Amino acid sequence: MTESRFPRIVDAGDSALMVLFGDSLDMAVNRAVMAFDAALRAADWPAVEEITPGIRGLLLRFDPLAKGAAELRERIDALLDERDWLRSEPVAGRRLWRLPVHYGEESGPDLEHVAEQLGCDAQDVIREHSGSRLHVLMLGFAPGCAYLGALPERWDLPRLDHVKPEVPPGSLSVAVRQTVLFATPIPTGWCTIGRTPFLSFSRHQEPWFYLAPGDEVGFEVIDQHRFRELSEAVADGESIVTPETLE
Amino acid sequence: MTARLEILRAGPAMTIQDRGRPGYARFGLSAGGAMDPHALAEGSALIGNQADAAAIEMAGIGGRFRVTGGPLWLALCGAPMQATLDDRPLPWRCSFRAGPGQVLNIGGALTGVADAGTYGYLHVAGGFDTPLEIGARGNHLRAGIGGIDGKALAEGQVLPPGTADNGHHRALRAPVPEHLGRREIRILWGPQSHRFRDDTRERLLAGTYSVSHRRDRMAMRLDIAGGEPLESLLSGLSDPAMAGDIQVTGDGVPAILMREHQPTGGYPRIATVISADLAAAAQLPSGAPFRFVLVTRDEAVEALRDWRKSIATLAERASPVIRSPEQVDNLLAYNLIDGVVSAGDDPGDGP
Repeated sequence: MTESRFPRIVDAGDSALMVLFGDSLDMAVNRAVMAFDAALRAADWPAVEEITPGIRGLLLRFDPLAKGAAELRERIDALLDERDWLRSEPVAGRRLWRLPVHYGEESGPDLEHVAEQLGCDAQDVIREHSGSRLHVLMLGFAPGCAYLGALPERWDLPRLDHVKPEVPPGSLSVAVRQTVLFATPIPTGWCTIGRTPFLSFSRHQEPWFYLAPGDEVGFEVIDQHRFRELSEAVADGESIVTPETLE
Repeated sequence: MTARLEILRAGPAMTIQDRGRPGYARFGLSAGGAMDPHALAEGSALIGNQADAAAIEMAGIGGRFRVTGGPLWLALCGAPMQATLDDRPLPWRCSFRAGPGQVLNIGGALTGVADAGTYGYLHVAGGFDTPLEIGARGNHLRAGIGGIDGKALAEGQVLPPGTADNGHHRALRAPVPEHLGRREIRILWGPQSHRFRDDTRERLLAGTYSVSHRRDRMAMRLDIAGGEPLESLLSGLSDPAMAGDIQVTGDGVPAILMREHQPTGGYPRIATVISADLAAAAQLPSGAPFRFVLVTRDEAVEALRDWRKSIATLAERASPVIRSPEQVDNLLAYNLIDGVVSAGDDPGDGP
């Protein structure tokens, strides 16, 4: 069992397979995943039950006893051969979400720690982070929990040496050139630098999930007062971020 | 007055479960659903419920319930547990009628029986009519959705049965399912198996394992007979994960991802339990020795065909109960197993 070139298809149990486009955090690889996800969903082949895009590959679950299961792998192979997926443009129809973020203070207890690691001051961290435009590389770990990236090389920060038992929903935490945005209270070993009142998962309101894989995210700096106002609006069921559709 | 089931005492991690919510893994939500879908289907077959009906899942130990407002038809399935109705022993895997005021007491899962397991199910005719949330009633504890307010069931709650009950009932018994008591779990190598040394993979197949007390609906951490850990590999980039994946954490200890697994994970996964054996794995009693057996993909698909056939034919294989509850063997004589303890308190390889 040796690694072969990418892209490649590997069996995952009896009812799934993975299509891998690379083995590292690389935006071209992630764009390939998102483009292939869109193509598979458009193809809408029988037997396919669920497609889960990840950072560098996607998991495709299927029913091995359903009609069309026998031809599935050949069809995926043929689709892979159709073009160079690693040269894919970002998928059309993805959305841009401009998220209001309160950096530092009680919202971002690890802001100073991150500034030290980057060798700059907290204001520089806020300026650089809020000025970045990130892609939803994957949603995972917990409902609506979005892995955003990629930040510049110098943001290849280690995780903390401890796990915080729980950080509140909306927290933005950074490590390994990514920003993870939580939608539920969860434990983390990443450095929390800010918090948005926007929640990408709402169990009470359709469509329940907001950010989708491949979407883009920008940031707008807000102060604590504004954070509280917007949090109250969210608690009242108001929508505080209207996404733009990107072509 | 409408018939209800009142919870007088709830075991830990007693939850409402149905077939779960597949389709949202891309948004970070694993499907969840009953740990033993066969047992879920047994109860539905015995009392004529729809396949999407919700039941109570009991993890290792049951609870105490009172019927109020009118009679209810109930069924007990999955791992056999000590059970009485007004202090009279109840047979397992059977449907029965309970009148208003009657108290149903369900204790620990039985050990020392051929069909010993961990998860028992209590069904009601019509299914439990708890709120639909994101398309299902099943309680996803990690995500905090489903059930009653996203949480495990608790003392004092009163559960309404659904209105889908057809009203035609008789006491039926389901056959003993093949997967309960099985101590061989079939696996396939997976996308990351090659990351492990050959001798590590050989040891996975040669060794004897048991499910530790660190088990829950998310994952089951295993104990290795002899105690020697497998291989420690660094976590990689997170990939989408699925129920049945056997991941090996940094300390070299394997864990099987279950229905409420993290949808993505970076721990290397040495193998995957075949779809047909996921319920058998879930039902393994804590501490009971078992082995992993490597099969071919074709064998795994054939096993899945048999598994589905077993579920599809439950109703026709049910038989009328010919012995009254009082004549059942003395079920109370068996020992009890310990409860189920959370395995998912740390973020593991998450953010």
